[in-house]
Amino acid sequence: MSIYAYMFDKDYIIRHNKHKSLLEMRHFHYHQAYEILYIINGKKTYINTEGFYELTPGTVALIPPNMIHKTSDKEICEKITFYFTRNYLSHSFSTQAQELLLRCFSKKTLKIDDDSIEYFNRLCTEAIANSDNKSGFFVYTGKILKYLTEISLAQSEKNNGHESKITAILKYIQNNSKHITSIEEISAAFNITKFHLCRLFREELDTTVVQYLNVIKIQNLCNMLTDKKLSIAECSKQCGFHSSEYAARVFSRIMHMSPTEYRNAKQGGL
Amino acid sequence: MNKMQCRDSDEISIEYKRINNGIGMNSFHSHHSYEILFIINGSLIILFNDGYYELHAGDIALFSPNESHKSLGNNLREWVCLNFSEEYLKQYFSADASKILVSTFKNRIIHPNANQFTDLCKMFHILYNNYKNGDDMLFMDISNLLMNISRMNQPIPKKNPVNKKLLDMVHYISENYAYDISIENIADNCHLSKAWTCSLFKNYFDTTPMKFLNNIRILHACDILLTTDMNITEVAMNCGFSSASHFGRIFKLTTGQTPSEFRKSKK
Repeated sequence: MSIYAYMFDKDYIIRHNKHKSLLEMRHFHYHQAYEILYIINGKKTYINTEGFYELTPGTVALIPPNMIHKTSDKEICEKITFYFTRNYLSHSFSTQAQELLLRCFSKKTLKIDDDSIEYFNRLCTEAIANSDNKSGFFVYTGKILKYLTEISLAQSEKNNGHESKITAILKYIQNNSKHITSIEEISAAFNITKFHLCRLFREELDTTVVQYLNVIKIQNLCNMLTDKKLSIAECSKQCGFHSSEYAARVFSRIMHMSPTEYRNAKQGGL
Repeated sequence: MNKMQCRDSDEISIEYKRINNGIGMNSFHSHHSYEILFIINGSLIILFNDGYYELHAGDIALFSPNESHKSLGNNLREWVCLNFSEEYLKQYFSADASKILVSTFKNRIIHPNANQFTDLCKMFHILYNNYKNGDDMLFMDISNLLMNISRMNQPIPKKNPVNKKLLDMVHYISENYAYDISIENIADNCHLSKAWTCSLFKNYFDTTPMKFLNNIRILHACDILLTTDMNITEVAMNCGFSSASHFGRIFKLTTGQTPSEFRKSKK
């Protein structure tokens, strides 16, 4: 997976994509960089382990490190993506300044209002134009983060307008991931057929029910591997996997490493 | 030499001033902080130990910590003065980043073009408002300003060395203003004729040596009036005026107020 290698040897990437990007991630993935995804035109959906968000022009998705997520194009998108690592920030900013600037990541998405779009576009354009200036780029990074933090403090979390059926289903899956055994169980809880449920996932989220369920379990497993001293088999079991072999297989498909490697990497302070 | 330390207690301060009759810090002074002086309206002459610069509306003067300097002339009308200490930067930026940010202080004077002037006005405006509103991310506005200034490297060349004599005279005046000195004293000190002295002052400052001397005395008087409780006669004597009435007349002529009115209006 090129993006992983990419993210480990670069401190930051900022790019403007008018069309389809080579780094398009249509499947669930995670990275250790902070990601800011700003939609200029078109429509995207952003799904993470906490819900799904429709990204319309003027929307910014703020994706914190290690969040398993995926985005998919509903329409061809013009967008700006900006990745940077915590390590990169600490080259230039004190811990106090980092905390202040990263407050925007407490929000999942932000909407930039029409009056400010021009200003934010200018900030981004300026940053892209100066992205080769390695020593001075921190000022552009800081300006974008300051601006987003200011908006995030002024905006209350937007509930995506409609508490749709799909949001409710995702919530249900998040809350019950440990003991859901079949798709029928979920569809029954919402009085819909299994086929309708699967179609909803396919059409709205471009994923499958089982895949989403697995992502939730893997995110839980990641947290457990970092926080607890339990064996990997025990962790897998507690996260709702029937066998640790299956858990390991799903894990490495999403995380591109085995649970053991993940735990070692975390303990190594990565 | 009358050294003063200014505003060292604050890690950061921004002042915006607009007045009809400019007064300036005219004694040689230095501070522990970095200082950025942005002239929006008016003009100013800044004297460093090794030369002087003439600044006009739109220009920026950059002072590094502990760099001794003084301002001359009383034609400053509207300006913003930003002070921040090394400690302030350290609080928010790594050593590397701080170094990059203050590298712009290797220049002393920036002469922005018309577009850059407009941008600077906007930046200072935002900075000043955010400062007043207690913005906790003000450090980004500061770094943004420094980054932008560093791209405007257009130092005004120093006045040519012919003016070394003038500089000497200015030095002489600034050190002896408190005594009863005459044009002859000033001229003699630099081995120049009285006429030559007058024409130098006329050419470079568009004023006479006596008016220049009195301006400097008045600037000092303003400082003393604001910072001490001395009575007017004492202030007059301390600034080299022979009588309180003479002082009062010159003061009113220069600032449009009497010394006591000035003191009251500022308190």
